[in-house]
Amino acid sequence: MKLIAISTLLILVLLSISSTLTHLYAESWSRHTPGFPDIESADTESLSYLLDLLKRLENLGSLNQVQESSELRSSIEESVERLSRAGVLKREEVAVIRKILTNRTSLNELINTIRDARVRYLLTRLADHYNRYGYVPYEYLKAVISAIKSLHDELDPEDYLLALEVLKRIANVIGARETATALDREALKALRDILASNHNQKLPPRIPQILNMAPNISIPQFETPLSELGLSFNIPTVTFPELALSSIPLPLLLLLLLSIAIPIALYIAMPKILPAMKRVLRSLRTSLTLHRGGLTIASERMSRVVELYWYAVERVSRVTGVVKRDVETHREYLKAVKERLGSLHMHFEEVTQGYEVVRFGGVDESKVIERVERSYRELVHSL
Amino acid sequence: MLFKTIEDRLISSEILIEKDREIKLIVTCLLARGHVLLEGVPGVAKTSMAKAIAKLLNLEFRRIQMTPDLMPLDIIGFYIYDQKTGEFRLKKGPIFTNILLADEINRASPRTQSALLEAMQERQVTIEGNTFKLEEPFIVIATQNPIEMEGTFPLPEAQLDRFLIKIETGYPSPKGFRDLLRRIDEIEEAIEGLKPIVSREDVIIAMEEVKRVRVDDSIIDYIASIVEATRRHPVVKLGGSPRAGIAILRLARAWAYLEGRNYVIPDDVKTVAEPTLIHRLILKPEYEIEGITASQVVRDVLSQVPVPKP
Repeated sequence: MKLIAISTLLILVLLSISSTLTHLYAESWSRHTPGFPDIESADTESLSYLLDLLKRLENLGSLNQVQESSELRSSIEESVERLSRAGVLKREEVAVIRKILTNRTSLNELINTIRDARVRYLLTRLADHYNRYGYVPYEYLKAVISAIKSLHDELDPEDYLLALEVLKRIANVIGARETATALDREALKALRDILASNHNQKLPPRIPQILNMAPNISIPQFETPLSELGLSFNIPTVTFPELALSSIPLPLLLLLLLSIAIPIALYIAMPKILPAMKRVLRSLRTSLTLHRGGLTIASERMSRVVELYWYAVERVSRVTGVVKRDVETHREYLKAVKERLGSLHMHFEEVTQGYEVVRFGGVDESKVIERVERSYRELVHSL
Repeated sequence: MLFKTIEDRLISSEILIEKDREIKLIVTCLLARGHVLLEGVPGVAKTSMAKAIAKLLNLEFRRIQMTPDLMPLDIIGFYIYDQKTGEFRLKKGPIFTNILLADEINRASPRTQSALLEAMQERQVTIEGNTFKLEEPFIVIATQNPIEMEGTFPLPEAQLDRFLIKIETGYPSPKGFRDLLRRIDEIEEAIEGLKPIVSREDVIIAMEEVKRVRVDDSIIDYIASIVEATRRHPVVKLGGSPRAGIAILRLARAWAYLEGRNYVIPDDVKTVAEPTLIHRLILKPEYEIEGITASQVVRDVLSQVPVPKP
């Protein structure tokens, strides 16, 4: 019964703590659908249009196809414009997409559109180098690509798309065709990511979501393929906050579990440990009381006989190793030490009897003090 | 001195085999002006013990076999019309004695039990409006068979409280049993041939002297602590009442007296605590089912309550 109650308690405590901590550590979710981003009321027609656009882009092999085909470009621009009017796409997204698609935007303009200062700096230096020297060493280009790749998780999707477009153009002018092709494909995916994230954000629960498509870029001589950028659609995952223990740092989790487990273990073990501890403490207390200088129990009001008895008990306990427990009567203690005292037992017995008649019998100690003192001296002298 | 003599006559001479504790407790209870609830299976010398004590103490002994059809008048007595004198004559019931052995009290009807228990409490009986005090010393030794439940009327807890002590007696050891079998005729003759060692008046004087046995304040505190501890024990549903504390005090004094002392020591309290408390504690059913007994609870309490100090 106790075990069931404790197990239930433990589970409840763990669940409540994980819930609390997850809310502290995890991102805040929308109240109405935990684990999902805010779902606004969606224009179904616009979302269908967006989905259609995404499908069209999916069928394309590269962004260059869009940029080089005026018909295709116009069609997509028109779609983007329409989605902008419907509120599906944000204004800044539309602006970036337009700049990418038209292919008429200058390199500097593309770079200046990027909001991230670090990326802007890297690309500006790269562009300056080309403007000054008329070329860019491939290794330099590769280093910048790696640097931007490492910043991928921190960048806005639009910034990333713009950076790819800039790098693609530079790769083209320095003759790194394969690199340019890979960057172009990656840019197309980045464009699809921007559109897909808007689609999923606006998506009501009953409309199926776009599947995650793992990137497949292989760029020659890259230290790390771009596919490791983990490009995917920003699909929100379903989580249960109450069970999201993985969001809690391990040391903290261990500390929490220990802080719960230890009190419960103590609660279970205490009924067994406590009596033993009490016995030890009682023995210690008796021993300490007896050994304390001046003896607390030996007060001015106490008779000499009683005082001598407790001094005798102190001596006997030290010699025999048998400490008088608080629940033990004087006669029980006498019996307990009889064997260990041997022949000295009779002296201790005399002291005990004197103690008894004075302490409980109310006998005037003058009648027994002489006998008790003599026995005490004999006892102490022999011990 | 008194018990020493009783001990010599009954125990040392092996008239009653392995019954020293029971005999001492009964005599103690008598001196403490209490009554005994003696629990034991049939044939363990309950009647023999009571009879032997009565003989040694020169007290009158009566035995009632309690049955379901026994009426209260059968115990306390009634008035009967005497045709010769033309008056109603009192026919006293068996309760008018010093030591009354009420055999199998749990077989009597609740009405008859109440009549007996009331007389025990008041030490007097009322018959048709006339009150008669029972002669001192007066002790009822009520027996119970612990295994027979069919057709019985178990005493309620409130009535059990009126018994000063409960003694649980059992079979003798194998050696004792064989001794008994070998010497049964001799034992029966010896019981019949027991001579008083004191007079009734001596017993009354002893009872008065018991009241003067010194009880230190620390002993009073010790007794109170023990009773209070029974109420706090986790196994106990209902602990000792103030009557239990009074019972321990009275019995401890009588015990000290029989030990030859005119003062009570903590050992006396420890000795009498168990027989005084075991029938007064009501244990929680879940612990009773596990086999925990009141005796274990009392021993546990005694192992935790500190004795008077210094």
